[in-house]
Amino acid sequence: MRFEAIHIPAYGPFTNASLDLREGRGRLEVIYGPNEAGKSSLLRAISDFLFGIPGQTHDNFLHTYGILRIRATVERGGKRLDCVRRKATAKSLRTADDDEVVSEELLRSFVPIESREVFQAMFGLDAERLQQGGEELLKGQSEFGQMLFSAAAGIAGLHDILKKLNDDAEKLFKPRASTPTVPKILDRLKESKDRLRQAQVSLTDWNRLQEDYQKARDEISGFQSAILLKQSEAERYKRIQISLGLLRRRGEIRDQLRLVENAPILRDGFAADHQKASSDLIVKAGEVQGSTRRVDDLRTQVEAIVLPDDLLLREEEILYSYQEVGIRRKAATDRFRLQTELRQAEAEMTQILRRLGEPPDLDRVPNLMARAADKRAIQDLSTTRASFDAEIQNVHESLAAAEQELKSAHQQLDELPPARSVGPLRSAVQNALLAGVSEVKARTLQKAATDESRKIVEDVKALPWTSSVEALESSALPADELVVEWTTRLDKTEQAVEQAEERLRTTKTEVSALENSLVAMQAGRSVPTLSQLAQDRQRRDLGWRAVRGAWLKGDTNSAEAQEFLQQPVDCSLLAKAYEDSVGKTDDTADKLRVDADQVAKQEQVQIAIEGIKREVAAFEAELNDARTARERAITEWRELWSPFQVDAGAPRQMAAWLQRRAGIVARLHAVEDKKKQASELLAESETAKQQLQERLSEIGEDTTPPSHSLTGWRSIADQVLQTEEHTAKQREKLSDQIETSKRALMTAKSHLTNANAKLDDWAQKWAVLMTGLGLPANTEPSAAQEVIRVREELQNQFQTAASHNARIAGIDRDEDAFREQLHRLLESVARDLLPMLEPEAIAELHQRLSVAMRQRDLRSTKGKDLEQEEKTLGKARRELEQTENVLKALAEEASCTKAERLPVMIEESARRKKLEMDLQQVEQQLATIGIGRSIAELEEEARGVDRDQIPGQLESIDRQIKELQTQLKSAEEKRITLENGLKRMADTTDSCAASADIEAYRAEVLEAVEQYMRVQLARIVLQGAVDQYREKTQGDMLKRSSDLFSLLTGASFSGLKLDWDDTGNVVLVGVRTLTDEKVGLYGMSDGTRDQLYLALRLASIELYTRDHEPIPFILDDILVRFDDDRAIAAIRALAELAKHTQVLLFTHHTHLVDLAKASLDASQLAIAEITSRTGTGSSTTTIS
Amino acid sequence: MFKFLHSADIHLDSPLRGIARYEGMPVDDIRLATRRAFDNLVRLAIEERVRFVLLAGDLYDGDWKDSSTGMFFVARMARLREAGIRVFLIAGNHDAANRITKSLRLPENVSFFSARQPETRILPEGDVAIHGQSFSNQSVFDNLAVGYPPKRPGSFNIGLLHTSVSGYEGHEPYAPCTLDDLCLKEYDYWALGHVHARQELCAHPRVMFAGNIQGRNIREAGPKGCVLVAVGEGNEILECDQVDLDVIRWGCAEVDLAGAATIDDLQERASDAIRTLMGEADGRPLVLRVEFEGATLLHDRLVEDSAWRDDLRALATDVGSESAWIEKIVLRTFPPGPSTSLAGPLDEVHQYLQSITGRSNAIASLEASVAPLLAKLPEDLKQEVFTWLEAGGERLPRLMTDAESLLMERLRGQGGAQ
Repeated sequence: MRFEAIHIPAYGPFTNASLDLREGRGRLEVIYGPNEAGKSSLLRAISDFLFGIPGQTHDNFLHTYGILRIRATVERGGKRLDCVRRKATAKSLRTADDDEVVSEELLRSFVPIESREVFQAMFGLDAERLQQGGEELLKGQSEFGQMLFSAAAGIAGLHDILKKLNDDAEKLFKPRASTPTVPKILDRLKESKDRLRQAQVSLTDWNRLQEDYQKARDEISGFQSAILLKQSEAERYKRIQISLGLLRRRGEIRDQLRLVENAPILRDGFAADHQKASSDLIVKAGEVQGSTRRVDDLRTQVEAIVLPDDLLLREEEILYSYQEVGIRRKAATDRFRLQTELRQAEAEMTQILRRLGEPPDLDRVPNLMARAADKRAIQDLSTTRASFDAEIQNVHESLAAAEQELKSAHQQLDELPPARSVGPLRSAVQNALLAGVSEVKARTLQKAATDESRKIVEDVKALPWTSSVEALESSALPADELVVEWTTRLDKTEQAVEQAEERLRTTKTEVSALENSLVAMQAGRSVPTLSQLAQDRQRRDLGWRAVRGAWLKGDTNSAEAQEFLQQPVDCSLLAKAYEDSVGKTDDTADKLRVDADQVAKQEQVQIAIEGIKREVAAFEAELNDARTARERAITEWRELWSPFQVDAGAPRQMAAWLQRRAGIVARLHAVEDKKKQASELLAESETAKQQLQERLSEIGEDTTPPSHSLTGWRSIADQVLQTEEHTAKQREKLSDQIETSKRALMTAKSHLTNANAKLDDWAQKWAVLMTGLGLPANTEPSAAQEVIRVREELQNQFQTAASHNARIAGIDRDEDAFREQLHRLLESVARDLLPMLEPEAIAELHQRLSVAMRQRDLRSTKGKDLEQEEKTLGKARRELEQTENVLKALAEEASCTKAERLPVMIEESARRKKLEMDLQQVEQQLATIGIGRSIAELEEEARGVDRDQIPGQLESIDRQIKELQTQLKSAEEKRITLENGLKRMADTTDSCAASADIEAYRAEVLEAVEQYMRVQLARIVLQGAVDQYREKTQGDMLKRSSDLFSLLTGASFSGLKLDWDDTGNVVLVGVRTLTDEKVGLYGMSDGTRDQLYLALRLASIELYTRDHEPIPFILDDILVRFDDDRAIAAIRALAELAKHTQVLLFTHHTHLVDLAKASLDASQLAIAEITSRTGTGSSTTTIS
Repeated sequence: MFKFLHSADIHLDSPLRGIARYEGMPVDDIRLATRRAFDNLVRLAIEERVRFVLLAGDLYDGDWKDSSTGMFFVARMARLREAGIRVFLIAGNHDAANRITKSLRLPENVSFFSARQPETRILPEGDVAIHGQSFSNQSVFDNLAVGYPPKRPGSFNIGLLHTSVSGYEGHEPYAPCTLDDLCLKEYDYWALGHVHARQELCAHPRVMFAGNIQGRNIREAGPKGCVLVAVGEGNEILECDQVDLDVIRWGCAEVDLAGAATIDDLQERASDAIRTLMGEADGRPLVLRVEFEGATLLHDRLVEDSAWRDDLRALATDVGSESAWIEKIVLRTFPPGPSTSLAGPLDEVHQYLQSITGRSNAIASLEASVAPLLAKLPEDLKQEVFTWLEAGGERLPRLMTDAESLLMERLRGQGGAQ
């Protein structure tokens, strides 16, 4: 997949900015933008386009959230997706026109990457990341797998992740350590288990306590029953004390009761009922008397009222006639109005008959009324006639116009000039057009060549080259291979010198060390040497010869003696001297014997020193030779370059020089090519110009002025061609016009014939209609319509008159009927009123009826009052009877023959009832204190008890009870103590708490163990994945990254190899080109490690593109720490990668852009530029 | 009319399992939960003036050396005796072998049924007959119900039995019987124990599991208590109410995180779920398990980071006005959608995990790396952890998914150039 275009309508500093990447396929795409140009905003925009604009973004400083937009076109396998990202929580991806939603899945099918993080880590790289990567390599250096994994995933810190997983696990648990979480919880768990054991209560203790408790309870119940016994005895004496008094009272009541034992027991309320009945009797008798008097009065009044029955019988008829008088008055008024209107209508009709030219005879009117069908026919035919007239008018106008157009077109055609053949001229112009392009190309090439030549001269000046530019190209400078050879040779001589110097330094150090140790040996005491002993022996022997000479020959002054003593001989001196010499020799020999080892050592050291000094001399000679060889080599190297007046530097320097020279030479060749192309193109242009002139003169154009350029001649030719083309078009247009006019003329003529035929047909129909109406056949349609309208008016008036006549007749009929009816009424009820006028008679009759009706109402009211009073009287009589019955019943109830005796009987009954109640009360009290004992039993119980002894007995029993209660209390206390003991045991919750704690700690341990397993599993999986990845990829990765590393280090390393470290881990090492020396990561400079990391990243991306859809690789100024040579190497490596996947290199260094231009040819490189104009106040930004 | 209480599976003093402690938890309530729930039972019996209480087995949890549990029980029985309430008791699989049961002197209001043969106890008034038989040892696989005596005519007949009525998965099949076995006896009420979920198996005759009175782990979530039965003059059951007795309520909040994008979303959804459970707990301290599930962008972050867990615990305490506590947070979330393509080495991690099946090298390495830790664990915990590593178990795939998420989050955290 690759980006083909990025367009930013509004985002960060951009407004309608765009970046066209269509030309970049297969090339390294360098995007240059100075600081502040928005380079980092653009990088962010790419991520935001792919994965959405985050909720919190700072890219809204220019545009508000709502209008932020990033648009891009992505391409995969020939398919393209052009869409826009807006800022939104959902549906933020839209079609390019921002109208419809585009699914994220669709974009993901083009860019199959899971997340922003993965995209940025794997396919993004900046300088800081590169440096981190280099450092990470160092951290994980013991493990090649980790290195591959980190580099491929773009992860910095895999080592830290593994370490943190380990730390996390150890925080939970670490063998043989007690501080982590799990052992702490386990300790608490164990402590809780101990606590549980201690908290358990024994069952034996419990059972013993339980037995004691039961015993105490038994004792308590014993005391309680004794107390109850005593209490009941006390109760008995108290009972007897009370029952004695009650029994006496009972006897008295029974005596009194015997006196009234025969009195009847009257019910409660009997006395009250008797009282009430007696008073009711008096009241009811009074009521009957009053009511009888009122009934008599009312009956007399009703009989006094007499009614006129005949008048009242015809009540309704009289009231109707009274109302009808008003209606008749209104009908008379209407009749007068109708008569007036009838006379008007008749006058109107006479008038219309006159207008129609008829005699003023109203009987003729019905014959003259209009028919609806005739009216309709006249209207239709009038309309048809008007449309025929208009049609004929139009046809005449069309005929005149067509004739005029035909004439004018013929005239114009005759005025046009004749046609010319311009085919050859047109092809000449086409040629000239192409030649014009060639001319522009040629100029551009010429200018480019000149510019490039000037630059080359500048670049050559920068080189250590004194001759001309041409000489640079032509000079047979030493070949690259020769320089490489020389590099090796000079390095070797240099190494020889260094080695010799090293050896010399080493041996010299050895000599001085030995000399120092010799001095140390000799320090302290003087050790005789063998030569000293030899000297002593020589002197002793000389002395002996002198002594022997003196002794055997008596020659005391011999030469030997003189030599021995070195003074005039004296015998005593000689002996003394000889003795001394013998002694000294013995001393020396003794000393030598004693220090023999020391002596031997010193001797060896001495010998060694001498030996090494010889070596020193030899090495000095060797060094001189090596130096001479080096000088010679350098001189020869310089001589190699002297013919070219080049001051030769080191061979590597010269190799780089040669590379730059090769670049310049290539550019010189390019300049030559451009110049040649330019002159060829110019020749083409000249030929085209000549052709054009020839073609113009062929068609008779004037070509005598020769000074025009190709463009000049081409514009003349264009003019000619345009004119010719215009004339041809005119001619064609006029011919078309003539044809059109002829066709119009014919059509118009045929229309005219049709119209005339239709008009004749109409005239026949009209004649028939007019005759039917009694009008002449040639009457104009408008006149016919007027006749019809007036006849309609006549018809209206006629209808009005007929209606009025009918209504007047109706009114007259009603009036007669009313008079008839009134007369009949008066004859039957008031003949005295017949002579009066109708209205007065009816008013009087109505008055008489009103008086009769009022009388009738009065009689009805009085009748009702009488009825009511009769009912009241009946009721009072019944009540009186009832009261008498009540009194009779009361006497019967009391079994009394006379009601008058009732008051006495009532009094006796009351007394008997009271005594019986008192007796009952006393017996009830006895029953209460007897608690179930009968009165006889109570009498029995009390019999023989001396009332005065009772208090003494009670006192004694009370004492006994108190004693028992004291004993009960102490037993109760004992029980409570035991019960509390039991309760305490039952309520102890220590073991409960401990077992609950055990459960809690178990839960905590399990939680921690689960977390431990989770972390351990994560660690194992990560390690496994790292190993697996290494196994899968290490072959390809090593090979590819080895090549890239060699390329990136400018061949100072030949590649990468796997090696084993001291602990047997697989580690990665670089191999030096010259020495094949293996260099571990610690031995590499920071820069080299960065390049190693870059090599691994590039290799893993290449590897990724082999099995996956390629994803653009985006680099942000990663070359800032590289020197020029290595930057060039990196650019070439990136250009190589760009063949497989899109590579976007962002930079703000023009220098790097120049390097890229110099080191890649045009087919490998595409450059785009971000420029910003935000400073001018305009918010427009342009990329490209 | 009279009333009685039917209760079972008290498991007195058996601790609540699986609650790792943290600041502010109601430790005392948790420690004494079964005792306090039993106190609630005693209080209910006295307040409702029941005639008797039935305990259908598994009063104790096992054979302990500590007698304080028995003493506590005796003390509570004494309270019932003082209120004139009788107690009928059988042993179940858990307390059959309990030494305390055998040697403890029970107050006279408590009747214990023999394990040798089924017995019938008739109340002094003669209107109620209770038939029952205890377990003789921990595992009784005979059908005890068939041996129960025929019903006593004219009495209200109750069968007291600890059983696994066939068809109840997840419970040991002790004293198995079928519903038909029970119905054939024509008793008026079967008071069953053993299954910890309160439920009615049959309405005529009434066959009830009382369930246990206090949930002791997350599998025993929801309300727990006993059955309060009211019987009419004609021995018909008037009411059969389920009364809650538990003092700590267990609840499981399943929170769907589908589409959740921030920790705020997570907290909002969890709060809603916790509030719902709080309402159901009716003022009791609530011990919660929160299970997150569904596809969410948060998945990897939830695995790698742990600060949010503490925040959630604090939130639960806050939402629950200091009476809701999170026992455990379980993650069953997964990343949303099929990931497009993991590139290069990250893909390698994914592939490597996919390649681990059964007892592969990686599992062996895991076993080796946890072996020193396992060696330090007590035997029971060691066995439990071993089961996690079993191939085909549900824990191992979960561990692997977690490990992958943890790695992805950390590896991505290390990327991010530019």
